[in-house]
Amino acid sequence: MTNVWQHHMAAMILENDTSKTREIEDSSDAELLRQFRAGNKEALRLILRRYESSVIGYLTNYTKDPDHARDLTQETFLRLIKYPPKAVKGDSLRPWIFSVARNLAHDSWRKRKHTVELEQAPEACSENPGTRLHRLDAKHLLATLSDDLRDVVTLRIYGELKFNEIAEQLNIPLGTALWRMRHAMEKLKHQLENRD
Amino acid sequence: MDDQLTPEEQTLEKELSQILKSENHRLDPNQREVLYEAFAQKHTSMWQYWRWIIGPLVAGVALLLAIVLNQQPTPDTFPEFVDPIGVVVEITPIEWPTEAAIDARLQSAESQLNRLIHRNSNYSNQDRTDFKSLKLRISALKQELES
Repeated sequence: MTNVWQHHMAAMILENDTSKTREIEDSSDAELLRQFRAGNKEALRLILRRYESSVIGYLTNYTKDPDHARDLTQETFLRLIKYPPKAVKGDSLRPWIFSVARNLAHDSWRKRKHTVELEQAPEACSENPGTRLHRLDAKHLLATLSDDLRDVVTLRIYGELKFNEIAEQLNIPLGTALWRMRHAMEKLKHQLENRD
Repeated sequence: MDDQLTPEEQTLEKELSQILKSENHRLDPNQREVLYEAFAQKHTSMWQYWRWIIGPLVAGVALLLAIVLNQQPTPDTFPEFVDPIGVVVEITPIEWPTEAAIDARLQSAESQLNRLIHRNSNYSNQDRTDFKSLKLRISALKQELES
């Protein structure tokens, strides 16, 4: 009897959580942030769901150490919990989150004074039909880019930031941000042509 | 700004993005747990912080209100206000005692009334009128007694 009751209660709680999540899951980042600041745990869950993967991906490329990238990602979200921004620019938390993530990665890099080489173990190729790239190519390309170029490319891809947001974050002119991206793309194209 | 990349560059960017973002990264469960705990703590501690501010604030305001309200008693809640009337009413019955006793009661009523008037300046105009009429009545009674 007790088990049935417990099961029933757990199902109710789960249902309640799910319905709460459903209520705000389509909300804008600004609304999520408002809920988050008011102490709604579901808002935190949804923010994690939206940004966790891309922040870890970005930091993995920055630090070349997946475990360290996870630690820095955790630290990024801890910062969000402790010092949440009062408002977001352009209704998106992305610039704020990636700015914190990048600063943490940069500080960490300065402290560590070394980088761990990107794991070169054979990896299953996940070639998408209709594309010339596969995962190893992509990672290799990023690893061979200079820090300046890689910064722009990773912020653009993982952070999905606009070029003016990238420029603002890296404290460089908009034209420079755009030039770095084009230059990186040119390198990629060149590598692909040589491979073919 | 995005259209400042050539179509070919945009395609390459898209391909690169598709590949890199196809990986689904997740925090470890314990890292996630740390975040939820920090979140819960933050909001609990915020509540405690406000509780320590709001609690004394409410108590202070209540105390202040009590003091202010106590300083402005209404005639109905001020028992001494009734006394002079009682005294005056008491001395009006037909079976009056000796003149000296009546005089003493009148004096007592008058002095109580004067004390009341000087003790509190917050009486309404109606109260003041009542006091005046009482005083006049006492004076009249005294004069009557003397004559």
